Amino acid sequence: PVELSSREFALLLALAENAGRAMTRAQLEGAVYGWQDEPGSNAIEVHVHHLRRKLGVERIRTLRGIGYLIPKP
Amino acid sequence: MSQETAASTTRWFSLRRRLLALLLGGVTLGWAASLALSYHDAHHEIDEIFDANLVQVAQMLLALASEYDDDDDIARLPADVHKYQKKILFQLWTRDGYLLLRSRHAPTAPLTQEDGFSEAIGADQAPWRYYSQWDAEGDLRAVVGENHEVRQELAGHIASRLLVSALLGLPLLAAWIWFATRRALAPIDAIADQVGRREPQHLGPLTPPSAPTEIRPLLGALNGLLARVDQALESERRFTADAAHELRTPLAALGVQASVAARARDSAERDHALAQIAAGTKRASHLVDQLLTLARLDPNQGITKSPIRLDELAAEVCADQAGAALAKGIQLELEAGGDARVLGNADLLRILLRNLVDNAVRYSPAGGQVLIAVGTVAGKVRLAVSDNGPGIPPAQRDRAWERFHRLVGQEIEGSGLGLSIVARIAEQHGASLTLEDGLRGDEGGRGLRVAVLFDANS
Repeated sequence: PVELSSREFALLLALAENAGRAMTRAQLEGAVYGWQDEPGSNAIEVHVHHLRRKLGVERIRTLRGIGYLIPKP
Repeated sequence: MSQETAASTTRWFSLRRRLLALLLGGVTLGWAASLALSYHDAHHEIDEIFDANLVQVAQMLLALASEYDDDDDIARLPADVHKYQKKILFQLWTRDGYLLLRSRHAPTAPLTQEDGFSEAIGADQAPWRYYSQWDAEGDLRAVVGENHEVRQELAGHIASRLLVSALLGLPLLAAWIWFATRRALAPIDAIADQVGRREPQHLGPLTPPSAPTEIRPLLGALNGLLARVDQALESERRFTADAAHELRTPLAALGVQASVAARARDSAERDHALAQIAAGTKRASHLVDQLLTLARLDPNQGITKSPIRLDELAAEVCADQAGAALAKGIQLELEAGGDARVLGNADLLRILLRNLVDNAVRYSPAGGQVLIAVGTVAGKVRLAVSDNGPGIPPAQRDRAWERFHRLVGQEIEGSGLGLSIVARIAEQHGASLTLEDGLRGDEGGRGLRVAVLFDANS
């Protein structure tokens, strides 16, 4: 069992639901923070870092300049 | 259809009628003015001459008066020789009021008491003009009278002669104008006839043997339109022919696979054929999609533009294509920097980006690299998509934009329309395109970089 914060869970959900397709940072910010909260400049990076530590580095790919992606199983 | 709408909204008028009305109206006005002027002038001149005449007669009478000394002399005046003599009268008076001499029709009462010129209504109820003068000694007074109608008659006569000639001239002039306009407009009728007898597919320029310079702009515009229609029809024809040709190959392959599947001896063979059919169908529908995209990019159609962040749009498109890149083990990267705002149509620019990224991923070898760069160069926004695939030799780059053009010996699946679509969209955005060597690959390919240069919108 892995324990995730609500933001980490929202991020993972957004990536998993779009597995095989990259999500841009703007799309992920929308999914995690909705429209009311103002995320910090590197908030998504921090959450991705935490998720990788908990799930394994290879689970989430980085596409430089584009966003993040979970490969299709 | 267009002819009917033109007929219902155009207010037609006849050039001949208009010219006729304008010219005749102008000429009539001019003639009327000159007639009035002539009448006035004639009247004035006649007055001068007649007045001079009156004076002359009065002075002659006075000069001759010494010859006569009693009233009997009147009887010796010769009889009337001219009908106008009734209209010219004279009297010769002495200072003590004795009528010394008078013309045959003159009354015995004084014609006038006034000296010099005067006018009054005579005994015959007509207007008369008189002149009277005393001789140098003041003993004799000559009075000469003349019916005023004579002058008016004469002036009226002169004017009416002018009027008659004008009235006779006007119908002649009208006929001449009618004939002249018909002659002048004949070349236009000839051109209309030439256009009317044309076959719909005959779109060459109109070349009448002679035409007035005044309709030269019209002819020029018409010929320009004909040329454009011809070009549009020609490209439409070529497109249809090319499209049909391109679709024939995948459809033939599908047919072959279908008959293979029908005659398959075992399920493995049938499954293989069916998989081929599925893949072929996918390719064919991709081709059809691309064809439709290209057909919709009508170069003559205006597009709506709004400010767009090209870097954000590129990230979106790259994200969509990331799956395909990942499946080939291709490293997809976006490098964005600077102010990448352009004025454009988001849907079209998305199609442009998708085609470029899709091409790059398609042609890069497995494990290759695709780099998308968005940045500013010398006040312009530059989008560059580079891959490390086989690239295009410089000599063949010019033809790469043509529809259905594919490199000889090219094994990779493609419609051959991607770069045409990119070129069309770039053209609609006023952006310039260049093909360069891309990223050098491990397999020795030169790689390809497609660079699009937009005007910045900042």
